Amino acid sequence: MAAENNSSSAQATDSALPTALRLLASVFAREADQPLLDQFIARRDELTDVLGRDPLGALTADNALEALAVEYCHLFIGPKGHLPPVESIVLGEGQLWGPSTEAVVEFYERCGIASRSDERTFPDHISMELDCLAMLEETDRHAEAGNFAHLHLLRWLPGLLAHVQANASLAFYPAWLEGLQATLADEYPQTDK
Amino acid sequence: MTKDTKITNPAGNKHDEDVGRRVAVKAGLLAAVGIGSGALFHGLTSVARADKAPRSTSGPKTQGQADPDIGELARADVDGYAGRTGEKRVGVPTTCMQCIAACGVIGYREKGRIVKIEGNPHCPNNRGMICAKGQAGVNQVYDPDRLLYPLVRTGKRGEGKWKRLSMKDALDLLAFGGEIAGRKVDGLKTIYESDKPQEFMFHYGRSRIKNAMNHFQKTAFGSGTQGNHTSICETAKWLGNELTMGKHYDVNDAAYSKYILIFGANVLEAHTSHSYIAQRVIEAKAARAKIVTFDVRLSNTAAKSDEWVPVLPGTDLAIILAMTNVLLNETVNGKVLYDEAFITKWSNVTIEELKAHYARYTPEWGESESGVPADTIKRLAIEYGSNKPSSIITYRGFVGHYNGAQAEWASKTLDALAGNFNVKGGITTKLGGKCKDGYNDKAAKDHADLTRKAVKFKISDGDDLHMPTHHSCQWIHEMIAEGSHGRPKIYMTYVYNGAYTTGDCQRNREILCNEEYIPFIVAVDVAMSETAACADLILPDATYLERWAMESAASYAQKKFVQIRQPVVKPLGESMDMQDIFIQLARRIGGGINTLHPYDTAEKYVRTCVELQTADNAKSGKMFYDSNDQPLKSDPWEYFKRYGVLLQGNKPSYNTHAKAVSAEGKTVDAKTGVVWDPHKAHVSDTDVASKGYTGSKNAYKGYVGQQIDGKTYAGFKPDKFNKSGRFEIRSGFMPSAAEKVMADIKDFLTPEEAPWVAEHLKSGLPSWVPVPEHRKRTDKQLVMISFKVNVQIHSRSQNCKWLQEVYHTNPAWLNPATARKMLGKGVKEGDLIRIKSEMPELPWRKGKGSTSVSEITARVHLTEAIHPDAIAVSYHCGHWAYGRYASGNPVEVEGGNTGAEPAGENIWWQEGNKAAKDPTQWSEVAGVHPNWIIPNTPARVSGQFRSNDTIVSIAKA
Repeated sequence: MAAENNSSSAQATDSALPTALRLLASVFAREADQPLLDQFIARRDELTDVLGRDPLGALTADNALEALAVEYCHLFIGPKGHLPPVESIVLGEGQLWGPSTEAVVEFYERCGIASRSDERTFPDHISMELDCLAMLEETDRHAEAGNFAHLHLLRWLPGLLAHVQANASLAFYPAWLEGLQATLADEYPQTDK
Repeated sequence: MTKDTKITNPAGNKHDEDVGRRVAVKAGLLAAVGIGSGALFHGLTSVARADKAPRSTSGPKTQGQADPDIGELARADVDGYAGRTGEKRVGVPTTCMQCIAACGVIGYREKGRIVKIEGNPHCPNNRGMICAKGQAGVNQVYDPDRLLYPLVRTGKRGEGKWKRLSMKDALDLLAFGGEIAGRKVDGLKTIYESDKPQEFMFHYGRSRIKNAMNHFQKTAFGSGTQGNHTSICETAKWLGNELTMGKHYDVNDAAYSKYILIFGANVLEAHTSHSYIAQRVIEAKAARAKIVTFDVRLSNTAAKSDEWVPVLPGTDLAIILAMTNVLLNETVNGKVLYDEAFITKWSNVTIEELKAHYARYTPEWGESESGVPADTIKRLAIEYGSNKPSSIITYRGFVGHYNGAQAEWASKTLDALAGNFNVKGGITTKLGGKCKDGYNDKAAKDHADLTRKAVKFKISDGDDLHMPTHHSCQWIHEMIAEGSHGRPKIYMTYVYNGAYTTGDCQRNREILCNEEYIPFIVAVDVAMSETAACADLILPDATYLERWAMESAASYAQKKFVQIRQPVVKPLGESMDMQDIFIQLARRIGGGINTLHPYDTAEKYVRTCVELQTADNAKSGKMFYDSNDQPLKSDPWEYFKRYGVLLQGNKPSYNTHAKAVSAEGKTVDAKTGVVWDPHKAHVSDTDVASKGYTGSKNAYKGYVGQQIDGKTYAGFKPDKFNKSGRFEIRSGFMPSAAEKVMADIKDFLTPEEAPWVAEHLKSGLPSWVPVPEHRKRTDKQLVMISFKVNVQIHSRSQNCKWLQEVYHTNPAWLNPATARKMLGKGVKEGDLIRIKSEMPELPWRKGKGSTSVSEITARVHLTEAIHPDAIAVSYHCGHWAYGRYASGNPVEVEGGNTGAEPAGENIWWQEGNKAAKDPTQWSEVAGVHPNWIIPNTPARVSGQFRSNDTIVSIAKA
C-alpha cells in the first residue's frame, strides 16, 4: 500500500484514526463528489485492501458519480424505502429529532462541541457522530470517544448496515459500512470484555 | 485492540481480528495522503464546554432552533417551566395548517425542537382549543419521510429513481432549464422572456400564501394558468353562496342559534372551520338548542345531535325544497314562519312568487325523492321556522353531487326566508381581517410599469360547464391531455396532490407521467405525495411551523382579525418557504420580476404588511385592538409576534348588509339599483351607457352598494359575477343553465316530470335537479359516498404517526340488511368485498366519464349507522407514495420496524400485515382509496367533484 510504503511517520499514524473517521464521515455525509471519487478510483487497489473488497465494483469513472448519487438517494434520502442514517430513525423512535437526537446534542455540549452554524445536517446523522469521534480523538479524548460510540453510534450501526446490505444495488455503501463497524468495534471495545 | 474480539459482519464475511485497526490506519493514511484531511467532512465545531446539564437556552445554537428575535408568548403556566430536557420551554404563537380552519396555536420549543402544540387563547376563533390533528402537527416537522432536499428524477417519470440536488442547483434548473434524465427542458426564464408566459402553470393545494403566489405568477410573471383544489371540497357551495348572498363563505353563528339543521356536514369532526364551529355548536347544545343532522351516515356529529335523519345520497335538495314549502305555507299560533319583511326589502322575489314556485315541492313529494317521511320533513321545518334564530350548516356531503350548487342555493333561500341572515345566532356573511399587502399594495404600485396582465390557458374551468366560479381542478389533467386549450411547459404543483385527491387516480397518473403532455413537472411539498412521485423535480417545502405568512380566517367571533404564521423552528434540511423560493426564482430570472420582489425574505414581506396597515390605520382612523378588545397601545409588529393576533374590530358585527354607504360620485344602475364605480371596474362610459351594470364585463368589481327605497346600503356584495346587492333568490344566471342540465338529465326523468323540471330550471328560482344517474340505479346497486373522520384531514395528515395510529384503515360501511341481501346471509363483519363502479356515462362526457380502474376491494364494516342504499368509504387511506405511515410500508431494519415504536410496540405494522402491492386492493395496514373508481366528471353547473354520486355494485371478494 502506497501510504504504508511512504515514510509514514509516527505523526501520520497517530492522526490516522481521526482522519479515517473523517473519511468515513465524508463517505456518508452526502453523495461522493468528483474529487473524492477521483481519489477512490485512482487508489482503487489500496481502497480494496483497506476495506477487504472493492467498493467500486463495476463502477467506472464515467458512471460512478451518477450511480453513487442515485444509490445514496435510494438508501438514505428517499423518497421511498430509504432509511435516513440518523440515530433517532434507525433506533425506531419514529421521528426525526427524537430523544436520541437530544441526547446526542447534550453529549456534544458536555464535550464542547456543536453543529457548525451553516450545517443543516441532523446532529445524530452518521456523519456528525463520526465527526464527533474524530474531534475527540484529535484531542486525545479516547475514553470519551469510546463512551460516545457505545452510547450512540454502535447502538444503531448494525440496523443501518442491515438495511443497506438488504437494499443496496452497489457494493459501495455496504463495504464502507462494514469497514466502519469493524473499525469502531476494534477501537472502542466493550470495557467489560 | 482487544485480542479476543471477533467481528462477524452481518453479511457473513468474517474479518480477522485486526481488520478494524487495519481499516482505521489504512483509511486514515489513504485519506491523509490522497485526499487531504482539509477536504473531509467537518460538520461540528468546538465551542465552550458545558460542564453540567441542564444547559441554558443561550447555549450552542443547534439546527432547528428559531431566531431569538421571534416573538415568544409568555404564559403564566409556561413561564419557567422546565421540560424534559431541563430547559425552559418557549411558546411561539403561530397558525395551524393541518386543516383549512387555521386555528391560532402555540408551538412549544424546547432545546431547539418542537415538543408540543396547543391552542392560542388569544385567537378569537378557536379560543385556545385545538383538535387532535392540530396537536399532531409536530409529526409534520419530524416525519421520517419528510422531503428535506431537492430531488431530481434520474429514471423514467414515475419510476421512483432520484438523486439529490443542492437547493441552489435545483433552483437553477427550474429557472434556467437543463437536462433531466437525458431530456432537455426549458426553465422559467425562457418562458418568462417568451411571448407565452401562460406556459408556466401553478397548481396549489392548501397554500395560505395567496398574495405572494399570485404576485409571483400573475402580476410579475404574467401567467394566469393556475389551478386550485376547491372543487374537490366545496366549489358548488361557494357558487350557491355567490348566487344569493354575494361573496362566498357563510358563517354559522352557531353558539347563539336555538335550532341548527345540519346537512351533509360533519361539523364535530371535519368541517371547514372545524374546531371553532364545533365548540360553538356544543355551546348551543349546552344552551338547549336543538340539533338535527341529515346525513347518509350516523357520523359523530349526527350521534351528538338530537335527531339523525338518514338521507338517500343526492336527495338533500329535495328535502330543502320541501321544507321551504312548509315554511311558506304553515303557521304556528296563527303566525307565519317566514320573514316577509326581509324578503320584501332585501330579496328580489315576493312571497307570492315563492309560494307559487314551491307549491309542487310538498313534503310528500320530498318523501318520494329522499325517502325521508313527509311528516318528519314537515315537523322539522316547522321547528326550524319557529325556533329562531336558526341556522343551516352544509358541506361536502350536501354539495358533492351533481346538484350541489342548486342545493346550496336552495338552502340559502330557506335561511333567508326564515329571516336568519346576518342576525345573531343565524347565518352571516364572512368577516375576515385584512392587512395591506407588501406585494399588491406596495411592490406592484411602486413598479407598476413592470407588472404584467396575466394571460392563461383556459384549462382550469373544465369544458362546457356553466359557472365554475371556483374552477374544476379534477378535470385539469384531462384538459391538459386533450390539449386544445394549450398545455403548460412547466407544471408546478405546490402542496397539491391531485393524483390522489381527485377521481380516476390511474388516469391522473397516466397523464402526469406522459412527458409529451407536460415537459417539466415540479412539485413543491413537505412530504412525498402521489403527485410528486410523477414529477421531474421536487423542492422541499418548509412546514407550516417553520415559515412566515399573514393569516386571516373567517371570523366566528364576528369581528375582524389577522393572525400570524411564524416559525417555531427553522426549516429542517434544505427545505425552504415557498415564498422564499419565489424570491430566489425572481433573482435568477432577473429583470422586472426581480424588481417586483423587493423583499429578501418572507419574514420581511410579512413585516411590511403589518407596517403598511399600521400606516394606513394612522391615515384612515382605523385601528388595531389587542385580544382584550382594547385599542392597541404597543408596537403592532411586536404585539403580533408575541400574541399571534391583531384584532381589527372590538365588538361583534351583525346586519352588515344594512350598513349605510355613500353613493356620492358613484353611478346608479337604473335596472338593478346597484351603486357602482365603473372606473374601478375598468368599464368604459360607452359600456355603462349601453350595457349597464349587469351587461358590462366584471362590473361587480366596482360594486359600492345597493339602493333600496332611496337609500344606499352595503347590501349583499357580489363576487365573481354581476349580481345585484340584493339577496338574490331569483337568479338571472341560472336559467341559461337549463339547457345543459336538461341535456344531462332528460333521459333519466319520467315523461311526466320532464316538462315541469325544465320549466322550473328556466324560472331562475331554486329547483329540483335529480342526480341523473341515480334515477336508473337498480336494487342491486348502491351509491358510494366518501367521508372524513375526526383525526385525519383529506389527504395530507397521513404522514402524522400519531394520527395514523388512531385511524389507518377504512372499512366500507354497509347496512347489515343490505349486506345480507347483496352478499348473502353468511356475510360477517370484516369480510373482504369487491366494490365495482357501475356509473353510467352522461352523453356530454363523450367517452371520458368512466374510470380507468373499475374496482377496488375493501373489508366491510356492518353497521346500521348508514342508509341501506349507500356504501361509505372514507378518504385518508390507501396512499401508495406518501411515506411509511401513510402507505403502511415500514422500512425494516435489524431488530424491528423503523418508523414505529421499538419492537413490540408496532400497533398496526405487525408481522404479516403488509401493504398491498396493488393500491386498488385492500391493505390490512393502510386501507384503500375510493377515488380509483370515482369519475372526474364535474357537476355541470359548478364544476364540483362529484365525490358522493358513484353507483356501485358489491360482491364478496
